[in-house]
Amino acid sequence: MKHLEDWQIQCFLDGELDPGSRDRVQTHLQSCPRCQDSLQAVQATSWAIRSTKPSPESLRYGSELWQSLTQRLPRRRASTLSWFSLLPPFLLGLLGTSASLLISATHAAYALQRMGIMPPMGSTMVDRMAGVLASPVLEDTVYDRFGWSGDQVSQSLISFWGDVNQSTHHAVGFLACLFLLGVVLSSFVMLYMFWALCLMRADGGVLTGRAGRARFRDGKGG
Amino acid sequence: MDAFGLLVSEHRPRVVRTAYGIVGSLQEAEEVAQEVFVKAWQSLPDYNQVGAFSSWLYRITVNASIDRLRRRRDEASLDEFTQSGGTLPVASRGERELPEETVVREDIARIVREAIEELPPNARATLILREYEQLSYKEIAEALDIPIGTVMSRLNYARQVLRRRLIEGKHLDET
Repeated sequence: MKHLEDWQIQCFLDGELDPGSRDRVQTHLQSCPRCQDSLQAVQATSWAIRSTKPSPESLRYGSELWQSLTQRLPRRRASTLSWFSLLPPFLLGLLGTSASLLISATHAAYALQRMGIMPPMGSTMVDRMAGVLASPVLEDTVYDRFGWSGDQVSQSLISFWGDVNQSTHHAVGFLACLFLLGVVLSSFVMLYMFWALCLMRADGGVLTGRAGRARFRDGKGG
Repeated sequence: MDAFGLLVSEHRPRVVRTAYGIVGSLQEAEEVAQEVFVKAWQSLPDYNQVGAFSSWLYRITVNASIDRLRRRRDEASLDEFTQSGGTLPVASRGERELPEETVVREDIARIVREAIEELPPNARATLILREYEQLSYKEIAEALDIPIGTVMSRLNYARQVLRRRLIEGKHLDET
């Protein structure tokens, strides 16, 4: 009969064998007194080692000293926030301030226009748009392919826009505003998430929030 | 309770127990534990969250305990127990333990501690994590950053040494 190896007995005792191997070892042990003795010897050794494990009472040894020393241990770690992790909130603030300034400037422009201090914005925008649509860059790249001229395109688009009724003007303007607002808000959300990720990473993720405290309590990480 | 207090209160018993198993003195284990918590607190940003937090803390504890052993290598090798002839702070087997049983238990504890002192620090740490902390081979391998095969061979070696000493002390029959 082939006897069990030391490592097999050890793994059996430590519960480290897979179910198949465990069953085989168990079956062998039932019919082999020599391996039973070996198992008992390892078990007795293990028990002897565990008998020297400090009792919970003895671990309170020095607890007063420990508590007094705990007061002197560092309460705060050195800051772990790098300039990189501070960049997102900075950009977030910059973006918010820019958006706010833009909205305020638009309000002011409309107010000044109503007061007659500024020329009507609609005609100014149409003039500008005509200049942009007839620009040589567009002529050389896009229009050239279709055999159009810049003046033709700008005139036909402006006349088309002039033919469209007022409510369509409002609808297009409203959708354009909605689109711009969506882009701005998405940027806010993306930056905020990026910032939060940077902060969690910098903090090690173990000190913040209920999950971090639970990890400490359970002695688990990751 | 702040985060540092939480860290200390939740993990102190296991850190002190492991350190005690390796350095063999409760007073020194308390000192090692303080070093461990300060180091862990300062190194938290390096904790990569891939492995278990407790494995990371065990690794710091084992390293700090082995450092402590190295520092005192040139000092007296006898631990506080053998110097004082006192009793180890081990759990008694029960309230109604007979005087003879107490003598046997203390003798076994003495032999085990002496045998543990004989072991190389790495084997000692492996044995303590298994027998005191009852970690699995995988957890020990993670805590010590070694392959599972090395965990098995170190455990086998450590137990053989202990077994031989217990046989010499007539507390175990030779099989």
